Amino acid sequence: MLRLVRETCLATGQCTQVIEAGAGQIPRTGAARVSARFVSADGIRILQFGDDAIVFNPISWDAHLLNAAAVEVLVLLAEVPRCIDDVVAFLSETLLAAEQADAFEHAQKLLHEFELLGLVRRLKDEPLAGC
Amino acid sequence: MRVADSDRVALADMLLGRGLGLDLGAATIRIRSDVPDLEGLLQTLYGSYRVEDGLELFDVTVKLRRAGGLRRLFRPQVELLVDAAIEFEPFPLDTPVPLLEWGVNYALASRLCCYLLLHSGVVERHGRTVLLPAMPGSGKSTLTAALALRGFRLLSDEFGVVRLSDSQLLPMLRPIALKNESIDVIARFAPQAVIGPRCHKTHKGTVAHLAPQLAHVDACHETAAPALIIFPRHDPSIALEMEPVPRARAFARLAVNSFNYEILGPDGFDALGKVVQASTCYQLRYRDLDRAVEAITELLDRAVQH
Repeated sequence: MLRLVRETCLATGQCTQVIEAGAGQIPRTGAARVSARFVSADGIRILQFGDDAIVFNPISWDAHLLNAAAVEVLVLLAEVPRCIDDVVAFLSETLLAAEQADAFEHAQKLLHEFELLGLVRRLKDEPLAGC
Repeated sequence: MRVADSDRVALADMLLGRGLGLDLGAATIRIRSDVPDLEGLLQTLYGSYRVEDGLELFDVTVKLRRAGGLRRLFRPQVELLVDAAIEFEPFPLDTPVPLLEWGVNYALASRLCCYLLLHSGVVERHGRTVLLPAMPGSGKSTLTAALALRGFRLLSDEFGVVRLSDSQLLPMLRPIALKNESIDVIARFAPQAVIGPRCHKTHKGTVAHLAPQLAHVDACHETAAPALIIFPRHDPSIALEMEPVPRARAFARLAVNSFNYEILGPDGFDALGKVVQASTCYQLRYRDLDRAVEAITELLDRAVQH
């Protein structure tokens, strides 16, 4: 069977895939948070179709249906490695005012899901000024 | 020489010997058989095809043969060998065509990995295609047949064959398998249509095959560009409803419905992406065949103008 579509529904704050909290998630505070940086996986292919996009993972050969905000984050992570605060700042611009308080949770879930899907990888921990 | 014009005895000898070669467009097949009177059925369904007697290599070779054993004395059966291997349960001897057609489908779907193979009907007009991907039972074959009988060129009832280099659609021209009520629907829709014998009690019910037209057979190497993707569903409760489908959703549905998307990996992703990007996509629910054909014609004309 085709492992094709997993949706990340950022705009509503809902994820169709349940992401378990715990190991692998990014701590809200502390040294580990400071050092976590992410970058898009090498060779991913993105097909943009209006508000949605299909992303192809060249390692797993899976394709994923993502909404516009999720794709924007993926593109952001392709430019240079980013920490979660960068992603939170980026999402804060796209989320409605009422949702902005949840920006960190959105970013955390999204990065974790991207990691699970192999669309981003976490760089080796290193101190990073500004994050 | 066309299959229909061939001497019937010579055709039967050919089936017993080196086999009948046929060019479907994207692939060639060779049929061998010792089933009585199969040559007559092939003359009905493949009558417009040329006898390809100059080819040495074929993409698929199938052989229909009478099953052996004691059963043959009270319930004669036919079995199908795909490249010398038996892949299916035998059928009753008097219904060899569905076994042949489904066997060829299976062989083509599992071997032609140089193309992206979508599970879809495909017709063409003005050089632009309408893809009709759907699950079995959705009315895909009926609609594909109706379009082919109303001025569209038939490329395939079963395979959307996408060339990986440029995402053009290639014909894989074969008879259209009509099931149950669809047989009478198409017979009424186009009384001139050549429909083969009805085969009852198959696992899909009663099946009969619509023979491709001569002009479509002669154009079996003419490719066409993608323009329209219609996901059809026959629904007796709705006269006609055409709803746009977002391209990303259409991509997902096509990929899920493909025979070999997963095997092709990035090549399949790129090829399918180009098909979807070049197309507008709709979900069609229809009751009336004439109105559905009219609506699709109008949409395609609009897409071509655009």
